[in-house]
Amino acid sequence: MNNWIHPAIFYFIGALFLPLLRGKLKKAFILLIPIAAITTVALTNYGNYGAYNFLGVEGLFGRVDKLSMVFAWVFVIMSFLGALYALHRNEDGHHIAGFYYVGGSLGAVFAGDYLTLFIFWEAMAFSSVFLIWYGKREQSVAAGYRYLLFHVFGGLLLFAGMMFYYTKTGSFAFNAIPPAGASWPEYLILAGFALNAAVIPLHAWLPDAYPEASVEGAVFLCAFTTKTAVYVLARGFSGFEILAIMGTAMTVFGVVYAIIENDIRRVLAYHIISQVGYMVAGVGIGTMLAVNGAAAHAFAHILYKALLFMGAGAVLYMTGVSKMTQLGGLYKYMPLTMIFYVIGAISISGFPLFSGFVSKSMIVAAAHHEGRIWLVLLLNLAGIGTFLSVGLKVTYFTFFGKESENHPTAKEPPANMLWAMGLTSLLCFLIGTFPQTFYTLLPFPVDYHPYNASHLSEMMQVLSFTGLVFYLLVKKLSPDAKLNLDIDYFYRKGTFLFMKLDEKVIAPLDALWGELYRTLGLKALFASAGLSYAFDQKAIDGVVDGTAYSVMGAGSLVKKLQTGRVQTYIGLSLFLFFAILWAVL
Amino acid sequence: MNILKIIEYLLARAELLKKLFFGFLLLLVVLDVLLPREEAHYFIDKIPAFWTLFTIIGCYLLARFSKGLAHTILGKKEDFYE
Repeated sequence: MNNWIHPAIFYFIGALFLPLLRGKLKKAFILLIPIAAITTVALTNYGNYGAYNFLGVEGLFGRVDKLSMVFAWVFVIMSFLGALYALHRNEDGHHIAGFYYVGGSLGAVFAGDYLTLFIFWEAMAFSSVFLIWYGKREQSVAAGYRYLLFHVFGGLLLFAGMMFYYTKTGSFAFNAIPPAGASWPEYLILAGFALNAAVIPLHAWLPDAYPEASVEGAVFLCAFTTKTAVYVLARGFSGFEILAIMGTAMTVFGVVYAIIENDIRRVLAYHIISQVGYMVAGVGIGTMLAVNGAAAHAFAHILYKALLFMGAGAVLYMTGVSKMTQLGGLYKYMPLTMIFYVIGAISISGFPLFSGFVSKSMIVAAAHHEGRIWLVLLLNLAGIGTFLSVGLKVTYFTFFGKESENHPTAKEPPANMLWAMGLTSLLCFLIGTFPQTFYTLLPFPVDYHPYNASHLSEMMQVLSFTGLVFYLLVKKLSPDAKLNLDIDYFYRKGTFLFMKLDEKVIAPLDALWGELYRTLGLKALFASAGLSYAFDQKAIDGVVDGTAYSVMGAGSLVKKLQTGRVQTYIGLSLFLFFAILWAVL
Repeated sequence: MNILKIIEYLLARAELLKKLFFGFLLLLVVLDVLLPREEAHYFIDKIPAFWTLFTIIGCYLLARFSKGLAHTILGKKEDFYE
C-alpha cells in the first residue's frame, strides 16, 4: 500500500534545485517537474496512502479516489501549461512560487483529514501571494497584502471550524457532511471553504488581487485556489441548499461586473466568480449529475480560463496596457493571440465542439432535472452575460474596434507563450469534441449526452441572439475608464477612514494632551517640586541634622572616656561591675 | 501572414456576413419551432423559440442594468482608492 508517490513532492523538492541550474538545462528542468507529476498521476491507483499518527491524531496524506483524481489530473496538466507559458521568465522566485502553489493544491486535494488539508491550504495562500507581488507595481504590493490578510482570515475560519468539529466528533477525518446534521462548527468550515471559492460576499479578494499579479502568475492563480475550494466543497458539502442559491447568485453577480469592467484581466477575474458559481451551484444541487457537472466544469474551466488569462496576459506583456479604453485594433499585430483568445472565449461561452458546451450544460441539466426552473433561467442568463462580456466585448474592443495609438509596435508574444496557448486551445477542443472520453474521469458514472437536438438548439439560440443584442447595443457597451465599487470598498475605505480618524481626531487629541501636560502638568510638577524641596530643607534636613548633632555630642563625651590607658579601663570596669552588682542586689 | 489576410478578407465583406448572420438567426428560430416536444415537462421546454425570447429580453436587460449600475452608484474615478 505504500508504493504511492505524492505528486506534490516533485514540486516541493524540484523547485529547490532551480537556483542551481543555468540556461537551457534550467528551462528543461522547469518543464520536467510537471511532466514527472503527470506521469505519477497517470500511474496512480485508487486507495488510501500515507496514513500517519501525530500526537494521537489520525491523519491521511493520500486519499486517492475518483473525485480527488479529476482535480489532480487537471492540476498537473495546468502546471505544465502554466510553466510553459512562464518559461521566458528568468526569476527563479517566480517559478518556485508557482510550483509551491501547485504542490499546495495537490496536497489539499489528496488530504484525507482536516489537519493535513489545513497545512496545504495555508501553503497555497503563502506561495500564491508572491505571484501577485511579482506584478511589481505599487498596486501589486498593496493588493498582495490585502489578499494575504483575507486568506489568513479564511484560514482562521477553517481552523476554528475544524477545532470545534474535533471537539464535537472526536475526529479530524474529512468526509461528506450530511446537510441535516450540520451545526455551526460545520458552517465555520464551510465559510472558510467559501472564502476561497470567492462566494459572495467573501469574494472581493479575487478581482482585487488577480489583475495586479504578474502576467504569468495570473495564469496560475486563476486555476488553483478557487478550484481547490470547489473540490473541498464537493467532498464535504454536497447537497447544501445554501450553496445552490449562493452559486447561482455568483454566476449573475460575476457577469454584471464583467460587463462593466474596463481592464481585461479584471473582466476575467470577475468572470471567475461567475464560473465558480456554476460549480458551487452544482455542488449545492448535489445529485450525481450535478456533482459530476461541478467536477467537469472545474476541469474545463481551468483550461479555458487559463487560456483567456494567457491571451490577456500576452496583450499586456506586448503592449504594456490591459485596459480596453487604451486598446483596439490588435488583430493586425497579434492575430494568433486573438485566435487563441477567441477559442478560450467560445469555450467558456459553451459553443458546440468546445469544452464549455459539455461541462456547463451538465449543471444546468441537473437543475432542470430537479425542476429548479429559476436556477435554469438564472444560470442561462449568466451564460448570456458570459458571451456578452468575455466573448464579444473584450474581443471586439481589444482586437477590433477603434485602433489605439498605445501599441504601434505590438507583435506576437514569445514562442513559449504561443505554444502554451496553442496546446490549451487544443485541449479545449478535444474535451468539447470527445466528451464521453472526458466523462470517464468524472467521480460518478455518466449517463449524459450533450449533443442532443434540444440542447444544441438552446445553446445556439442563446449565443446567436446574444450576438444580435451586442451588435445593437455596441455603443452602449463601450468600456469606461472608471473604477467600479465592490465589497472591498468597506475594508479599503474602512482603513482609509481609520487613517483619517487617526489624523483628524486621535492625533489632535494627542497633541492637545501634550499641550495640556506641558502647560498644566509641568506647572503642577514644578510647584510640587518646590514644596518637596522646602519640606526637604526644613523637615527632613532638620531631623537628619539634629540627629547628626546629637551623635556628634555623644561622640565627644565618649571620646573623653577613651584615654588609652589600661588602668583607667580596669578601674572603670570595676566601677561598672560594682554599680551593676549593687543595682541587682 | 495568412491569418491576417483571412481576417481582412472577411472584414471587407462585413455586409454579406451580416446578412448571413441574420439568415442564420431566422433559421435557428424556425428549427426550434419545428423541434419535437414530447418530453417537455416545464414551460421553458414547451414554448417554441423560448430561448430566443429569453436571450433578447435577458441580454438587453442585463446589459442596461449593469451599465446603469456602473453609471450611477458603482462607477468612481480610477484613483478613488489612492
